[in-house]
Amino acid sequence: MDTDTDTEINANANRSTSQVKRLSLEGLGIILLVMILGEILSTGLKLPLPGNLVGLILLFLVLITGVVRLEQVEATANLLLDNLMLFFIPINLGLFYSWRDFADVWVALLASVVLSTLLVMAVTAKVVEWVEGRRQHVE
Amino acid sequence: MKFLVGPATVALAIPLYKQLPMIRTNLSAIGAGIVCGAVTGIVSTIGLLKVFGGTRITMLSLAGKSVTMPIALGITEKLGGNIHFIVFGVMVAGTIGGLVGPEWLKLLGVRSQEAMGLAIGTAAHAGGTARAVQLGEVEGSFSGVAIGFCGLLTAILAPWLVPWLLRLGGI
Repeated sequence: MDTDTDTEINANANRSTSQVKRLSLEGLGIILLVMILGEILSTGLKLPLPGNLVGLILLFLVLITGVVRLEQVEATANLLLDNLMLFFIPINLGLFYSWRDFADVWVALLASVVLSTLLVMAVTAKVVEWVEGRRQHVE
Repeated sequence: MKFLVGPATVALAIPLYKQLPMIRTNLSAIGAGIVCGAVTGIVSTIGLLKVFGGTRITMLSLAGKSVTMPIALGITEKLGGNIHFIVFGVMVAGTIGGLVGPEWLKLLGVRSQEAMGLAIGTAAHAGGTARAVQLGEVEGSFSGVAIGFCGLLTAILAPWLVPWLLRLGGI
């Protein structure tokens, strides 16, 4: 009973100010349910995608089909995404204790990541401009 | 750990859904750009690691370095790489994209705002997007959309592309 009232209050709050970043039980419930469904589908059907990505696609689909409304999950999702880095503090801390792993390879890692990042940006931007140019040409 | 990261990955559907009209009108540019960017990300990382003398384990670890942390961790776990390497890779990619991304693209003569945003989001996930948002609304939203799509695509491609590349390189 208490839970229901809470959900209702939060849902109302979300409706009035959709930009408010507040964890609503309803939103969190939907996201967790979708995540678990994704996990079940991923393992059950032996999909090539991990469960949380199947969940991403599922959430997208239920939003498009209108099964779930954007207001129901938006505030919770924004809260999760804005604080994404918080979830990684445990692993980031682990980095300091694993410096031995890096001893022989850190130059190769750093150089590869930096150069590859610059290359990906260049390729993506040039391809997009090429497609845009072609499209304008056709129009 | 997985339970913490899961909801945040699922939540990535929200920005994609909100940008749906924009995605529809720019589908060909977004699709082509992100497909080429994601493939370049995987192939160039492995190739460069080979050039710089990286070990086999670094190649298994870094394929997902362009994508957002929760997805990248899943990719590295699946390939049997070192989690610390991918955390490092994702942070460096995000930093580079945010720090020099717009300047680098201007240097290359890129003028389209859509191209700028997609490139930064594809290569440097949220780290680059934080900077793209400051450039303008178009750059920011295209960069945000690229995070989700590039993540999905890399997660689909990497598990078969990486072993194939390693075999090709005789590693």
